[in-house]
Amino acid sequence: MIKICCVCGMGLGSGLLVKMTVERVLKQAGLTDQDFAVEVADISTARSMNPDVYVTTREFSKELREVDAKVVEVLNLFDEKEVSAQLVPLIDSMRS
Amino acid sequence: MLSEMIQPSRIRLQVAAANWEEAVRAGGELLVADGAAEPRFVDAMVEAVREFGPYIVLAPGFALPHARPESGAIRTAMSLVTLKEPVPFGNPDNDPVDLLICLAALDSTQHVEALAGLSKMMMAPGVPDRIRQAASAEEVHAILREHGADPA
Repeated sequence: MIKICCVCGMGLGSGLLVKMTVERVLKQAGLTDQDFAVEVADISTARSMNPDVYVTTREFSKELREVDAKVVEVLNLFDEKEVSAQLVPLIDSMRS
Repeated sequence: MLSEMIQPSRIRLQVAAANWEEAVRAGGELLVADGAAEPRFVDAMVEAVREFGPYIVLAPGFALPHARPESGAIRTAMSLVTLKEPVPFGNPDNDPVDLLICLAALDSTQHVEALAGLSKMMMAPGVPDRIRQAASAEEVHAILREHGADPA
């Protein structure tokens, strides 16, 4: 089970939207709820979540540089291709 | 549902905004006018951009300004603004912005379905541009009803 944490400023808007896109692309890639879990955190609590992967925007990826997890930076939250191209190979490499 | 969250009274098109702050305030004022947020909520939305940077610009030309519930949200609602001239937010990837959806949320759950509808709508080819080009609030609302329904 790979733990993914979507990070935004308040945990109300972009983080929730990133979560939706992440879940969609991973399911399209054939992964199931047994393979991954996605949660949302605001930047002030993100460090305490200890996920395997953070997914976030440029502003917050800067603040997550020193964490002990992979950080995926998303430019267009609604672009499934962009999210998929970054995330799916990473998740595959972590599962093997 | 997205079309319930964004009532036609909270849609304003082709707003003349000189900069990102005026654009955010235009959307925020619609929430205040409808009783969904206190005036201080609008200040908090502007402050959030200053605090965190232009991270609310989520896709090319599109921003989702919002603030914390305790900053003066009264009920869960959204407003929609299109701009006559796009304005930069300082986001290198997605500037300039000419479509804003402002969010007043009471918690992190009540608006999730509407966000799912928003996500679906923003991914539908050509639909964001149809909103940008719309001439009336009713026309936008019809697009929201058509493309922003809760995903199954």
